[in-house]
Amino acid sequence: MGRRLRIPYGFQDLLPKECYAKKRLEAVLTEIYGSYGYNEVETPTIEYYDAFHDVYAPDKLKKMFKMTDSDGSLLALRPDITLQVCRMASKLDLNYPQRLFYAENCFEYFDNGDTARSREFAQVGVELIGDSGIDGEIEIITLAVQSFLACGLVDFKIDIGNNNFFKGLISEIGLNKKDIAQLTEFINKKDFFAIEVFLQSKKIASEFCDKLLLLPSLFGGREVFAKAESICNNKLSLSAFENIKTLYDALKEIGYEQYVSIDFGMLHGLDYYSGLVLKGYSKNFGLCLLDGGRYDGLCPSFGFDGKAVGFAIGVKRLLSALNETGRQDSVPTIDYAYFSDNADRKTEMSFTEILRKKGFRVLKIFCKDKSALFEYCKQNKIRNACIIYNKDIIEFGEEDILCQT
Amino acid sequence: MSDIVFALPKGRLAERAIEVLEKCDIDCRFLKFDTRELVLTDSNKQYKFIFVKPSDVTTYVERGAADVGVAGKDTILEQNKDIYELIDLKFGKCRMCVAGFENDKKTSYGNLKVATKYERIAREFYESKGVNVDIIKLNGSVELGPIVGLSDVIVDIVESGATLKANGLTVLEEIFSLSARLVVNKVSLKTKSERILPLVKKISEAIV
Repeated sequence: MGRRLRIPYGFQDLLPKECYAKKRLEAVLTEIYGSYGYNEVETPTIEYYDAFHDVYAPDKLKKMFKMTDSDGSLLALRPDITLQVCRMASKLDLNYPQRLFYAENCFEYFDNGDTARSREFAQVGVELIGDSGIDGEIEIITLAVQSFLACGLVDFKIDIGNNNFFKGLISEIGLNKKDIAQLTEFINKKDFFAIEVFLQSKKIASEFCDKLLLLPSLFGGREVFAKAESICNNKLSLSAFENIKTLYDALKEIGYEQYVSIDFGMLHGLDYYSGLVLKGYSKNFGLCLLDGGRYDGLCPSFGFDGKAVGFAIGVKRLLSALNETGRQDSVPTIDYAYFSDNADRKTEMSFTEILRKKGFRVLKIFCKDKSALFEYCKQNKIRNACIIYNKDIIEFGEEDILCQT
Repeated sequence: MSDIVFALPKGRLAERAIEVLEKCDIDCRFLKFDTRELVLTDSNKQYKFIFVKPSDVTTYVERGAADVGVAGKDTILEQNKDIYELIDLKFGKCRMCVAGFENDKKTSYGNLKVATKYERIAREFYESKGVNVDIIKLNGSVELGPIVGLSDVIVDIVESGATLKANGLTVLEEIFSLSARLVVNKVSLKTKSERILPLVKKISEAIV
């Protein structure tokens, strides 16, 4: 293929069908957020690298598109919107919680094409910034459920966990940062064998080993609460446990129990998320569709007070999941196709404008031949055809189109 | 009822995996026929088995094309996919090793040359030791590297050591030991837990 026709890997064009489905989905989602009083914001595509530097894990910093500004400062294509929205929140009055949402593209730089990820990906997300407490968390999870319901996703689950449950457990045993990172990785993979070997090598007392070995299995429905409670001997774990229990009970009361599952062993960005963590899945799609949680440390990292909770939905993944179940919207068909001999452009304009104002999709074709018009209509499933000929308007219905030989 | 898709690595590991599955009361007779079919369904229509290249198992599982799979720890470490790694299946045991000629003083100029199928593992291993190396990626017969002078040493899995010995090479250093693992898609474990958890339980009981 000609070099100029190629695009870099991990990027893509959206052809009309895909683009329509994406925009429809975004419209459905943003309508819900609007109905809850969330307002849309936009952030710059390029941000100073420094904005991310102190907050992101080294691994994530590596995966940023970087370039230099004319004064030599390092710039980055935004890898996510949340951090930008938190930066932006310094300009807002946070005496009352601010409800914001966005629909934007993010970028991830990697040099390995063998991955399920794209280098540019669309995200729709909500942020509730300010002191909203557990009610804010309930609202955010409710919005996550509503997002999936509204777009017609079936068999989905919002998985909830709390990083502090684990942080409390390890505070009892005193591991260094590197060991914690290693242990976190094993727990996230639910690799019981590696956890056991690791803890033994660190000579951790068996009562703590038992607790940490139980952690990866603490997922499912309300049945996990009893086991989880039995291993909370410290304040932090207990507060995390109570947080999840309260959320679960509240969501049950709303009638959302079927959509919620719990995983105390889901450790998500320990330095980034300060409590609640969320993930959203659907049975028909093997990758995570939604993620989020509470990040009370982000605004303070910019030097101002502001707690925050929110989530982002991967639009492309959600579209794929909907496509699996045949729920993806397809481009609406054309209602009218016509051609004109161009003898009277004024009649043509006023006739087509009336139709267009009524909400019909009206398309002019550039042939001057009735059989070509009908053929076009047949192929594109257009039910009405017109010919504007010498100031006359001749209309044809579906039967006329189909009868033509 | 939706099928659970089970990815099995073609070859030795599959045979051992099938033995374990039989102990879990899964009818595997059909899996033993010599067939060219790549997708097979068990007689109770509970599972769909797919046979894939061993190094592809984790890819199928990460993307959800398979819910569950059996993969060697070597593949898992090399590919570093976002999957659950629930059970050490205790078979397919071997060691990831550095091998080369015994008492060989490094002769080539510059960085140590390392031939391997496991680029990532080799790089991380030498990085952790602070040794600069040139990694030479090969897809098979890695033992040839030192013999024909392509590399100074190799990083590869060693089972009995017979191949090394036959080529005059010895294990210089052991990196870690390996075995087969049961891997599970991160979404499937949550959304199909009523099917997958009992299976996981049976398998872990069967391998003790």
